[in-house]
Amino acid sequence: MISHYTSCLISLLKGHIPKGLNERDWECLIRIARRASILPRLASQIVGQNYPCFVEKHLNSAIKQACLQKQQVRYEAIQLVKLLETVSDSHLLFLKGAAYCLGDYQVGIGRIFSDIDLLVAKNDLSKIETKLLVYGWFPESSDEYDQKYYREWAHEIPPIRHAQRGTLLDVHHNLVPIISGRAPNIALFTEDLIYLENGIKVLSVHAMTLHSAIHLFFQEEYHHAFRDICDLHCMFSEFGKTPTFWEDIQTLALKSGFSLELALACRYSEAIFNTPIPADVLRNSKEYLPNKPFLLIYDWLYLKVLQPHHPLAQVRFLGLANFLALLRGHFIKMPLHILLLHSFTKIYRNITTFLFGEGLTKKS
Amino acid sequence: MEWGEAKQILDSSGLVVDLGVAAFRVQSSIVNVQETFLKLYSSYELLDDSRGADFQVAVKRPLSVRRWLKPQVSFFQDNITPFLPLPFSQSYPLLEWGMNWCMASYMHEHLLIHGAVLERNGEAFIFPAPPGSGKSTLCAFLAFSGWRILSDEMTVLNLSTGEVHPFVRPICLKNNSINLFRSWFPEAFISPIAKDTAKGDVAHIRPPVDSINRIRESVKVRAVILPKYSPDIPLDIYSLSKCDALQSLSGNAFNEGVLGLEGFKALVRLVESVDTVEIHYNDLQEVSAFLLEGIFTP
Repeated sequence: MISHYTSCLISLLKGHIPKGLNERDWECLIRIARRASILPRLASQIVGQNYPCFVEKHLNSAIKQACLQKQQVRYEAIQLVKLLETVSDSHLLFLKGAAYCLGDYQVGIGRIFSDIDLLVAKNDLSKIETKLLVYGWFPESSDEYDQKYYREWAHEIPPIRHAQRGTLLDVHHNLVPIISGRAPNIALFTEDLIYLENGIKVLSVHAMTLHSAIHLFFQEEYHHAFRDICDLHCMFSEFGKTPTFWEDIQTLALKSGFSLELALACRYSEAIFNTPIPADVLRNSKEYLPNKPFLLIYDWLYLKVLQPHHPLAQVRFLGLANFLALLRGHFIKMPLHILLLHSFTKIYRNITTFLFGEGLTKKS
Repeated sequence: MEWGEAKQILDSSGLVVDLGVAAFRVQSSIVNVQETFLKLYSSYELLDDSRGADFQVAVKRPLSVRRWLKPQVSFFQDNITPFLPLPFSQSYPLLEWGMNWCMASYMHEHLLIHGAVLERNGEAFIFPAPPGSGKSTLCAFLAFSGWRILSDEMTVLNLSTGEVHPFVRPICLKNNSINLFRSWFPEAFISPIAKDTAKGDVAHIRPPVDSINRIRESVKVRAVILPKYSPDIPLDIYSLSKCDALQSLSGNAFNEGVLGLEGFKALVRLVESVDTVEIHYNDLQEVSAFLLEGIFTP
């Protein structure tokens, strides 16, 4: 199931250079890794080892780019905390890529991302939005329907961008869309936070890991799924050494209703990266996995979409697997009638925009 | 490898051209692009297909209904298209611009500055300048008047040695300079003109063979010259403070931000160790004579 180049990348991500790679192989691996957003992580694992001369330029360049991003995210985080701590009465913390980097975790080494994710209390949202607007953070889209979509159904406000620095910010008040009916009581995740320097806060490591799993198995598009499952592998490997980690993450998953997502994350991280996951955790998680015929479909699907999507990676039937993953992603995010309504509206708006321009759906 | 074979490889897996600081795998099935590319790059070393290339680039016609009405062309780096498609007639310049984009986006081993570099007697001169300063014309003139060209567009500064690496590419001329250049050097090869691009009419010149043969020889920098073309002034020379020189280099740098402190330090070391002047000119002979004289401080 795992293609040749995917196995090579897995090995490289663990710091081992597979035997017998020629220059062409290296060229292909760099291309695949770059598109999968894992080149900086891969580079930091193997830099200084033995590889063809031209490879070094790309490894060093990727590491430099990731270092720059780390510096930028730190700067933005400090600014955001300063700006928002006065208007936030409750929690204000960083999620995903930004949190991995800010916390200096293994998973943060060479982790690149395109936006900063912030989690705030729903009650603070309007004050925070106003404050951000005053300080140069503007919404990316002013489309009325998109605004409505986010406001009513989503777990975040529409993305906002800093007018000068161009940084993209996603402000969340929950971890999954409200309309999915699966949005957890967020207090379960925020009751036990990690305090970093400069007033920066992130989720506790078990909540951070569970969020990563939820995020991965709640998406519709799996372009970066190889990077995401690799994140989980890094987190399970690093945090799993702490004695209470596995118990904490299983308890939180159970309480918040994400035991399936945790079970899938453990299953595929183990299958792809051979992650050291305790046998009893794997055994317990079986209970939450779908029954045998469905599990076969899940395995077929996820072992494809979780590999890099570059054509050079040669994952067979990736197109079909992507389509099925897309369907599943939509179904778990929205009830069917909302999904149909949403799809119809989107299609209708795209057709009218195509035929008559933007005037019909946008106020001038 | 034979150049006849080369055309066929351009069609299929792509031709690997060694440009010194980077090797490009170039693919295109567009006949005009193939012909121009093979003429402009005829003196470069081609690498065997089994060798690794730094960048994989292609120009292709997008598969859309438009191809029958108003054909367009897209640039690919690997499997992505970083820019919007351009009119089909701009296929060749798009390839060259795309190759520059690859360097600026991914090659952070060196500091890359938007500017020309020329060498004479083992000393390099950097001309950092935005478009419109007359740098390309100056560059093309000097390159065919006994100077060795290292680049007309991208200065590649080594972060540890402080020397500049050649990145010899076809010289890009715009608008009136094309005919002017043709009148000065009728024997040089000039590509067909692409009309009405974002930069006006554009053509590429095949660089002199000697410059191409020496793409691995890095050079110590002698001076940073800030050029400004002024139609009424044959040659005026102004002193340029280290601070202003730093600013003009920094303002024209592609990846100083990515390199951070390392990039800043390299620029400071550069301006502190070389002469810095600003010239306003319209007479290229005068400029050449001034540079050769080598007296940059009053």
